Amino acid sequence: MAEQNPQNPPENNPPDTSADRLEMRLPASAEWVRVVRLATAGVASRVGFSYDEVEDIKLAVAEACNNAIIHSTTDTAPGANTPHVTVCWQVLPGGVRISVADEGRLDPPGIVRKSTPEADESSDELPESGMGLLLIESLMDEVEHESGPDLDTTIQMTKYLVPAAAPEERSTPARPHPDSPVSLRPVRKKSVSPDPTKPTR
Amino acid sequence: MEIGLRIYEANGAKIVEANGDIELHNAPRLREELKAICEIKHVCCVIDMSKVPFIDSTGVGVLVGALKRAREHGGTLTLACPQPRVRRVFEITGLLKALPIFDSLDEATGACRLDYTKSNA
Repeated sequence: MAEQNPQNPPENNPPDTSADRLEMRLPASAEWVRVVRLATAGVASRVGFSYDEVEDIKLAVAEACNNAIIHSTTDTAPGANTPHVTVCWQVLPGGVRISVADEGRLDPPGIVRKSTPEADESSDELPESGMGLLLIESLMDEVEHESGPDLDTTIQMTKYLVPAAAPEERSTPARPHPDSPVSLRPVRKKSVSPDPTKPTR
Repeated sequence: MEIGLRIYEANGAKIVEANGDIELHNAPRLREELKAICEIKHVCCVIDMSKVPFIDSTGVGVLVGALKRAREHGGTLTLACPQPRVRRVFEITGLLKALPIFDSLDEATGACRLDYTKSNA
């Protein structure tokens, strides 16, 4: 074990969490989406997103999980093993990238509604389904989805931090999200600008 | 997590007070409860959303389906007191202006009954 330097105690050098990756594998069952939402809130709060941004990310991830679960249960042959969904949170220097992967097959893009419906008096025109991808694309900064050779589909969503206003410009202090974990050690905030040289998937 | 539902009558309307998140897991139950109410001929149904902190697209779809069913049976359905996050979901999905949403239970009940009177005049 390295000797601790009393001149430079550990609390002056908090761990670099800017490239941390978390992963969760869960049964493709709707009852577990709430757990994914809570975990997402914890990660997003730790990265430094505001209360509203954390709520946006939670909803987007929930929609992606819903999508994965629906397609897992409808596309798996009877008698097959319980399908699972894998959620991965990748902390970026200026944000977070979250992927949700299923073991089924995403419906053709044409089925997914991407445009907002017209505000119409006629309730016949109002959509009852297919709004999930619209929500994801509206709430996150970047969204990609791809299908693999084994009919598995992954939705990848990225949200970037927006530079916060200087303390003297804020009228009220920023409030922590209620789901954010209690920090035992100070977390060093990195620059919020995304790396333009890194390709996005 | 199951959603809590309290159903009662007030001022001639059926009030459905929802308590909890409306999501993929519990949406089917809400759909069945609203189906039974909205198939009552000429029903005035008000959904009190004041205790719903979260709704996903599945939940939105259930509400839209209930609205359509009520209208198909000559009735009406309104939404009362959605929380800001829920209102945001309606806004993103383009339904904020299309759905009959009101800031108080009284307004929602009043509008429900007015809509019923107009459509059955």
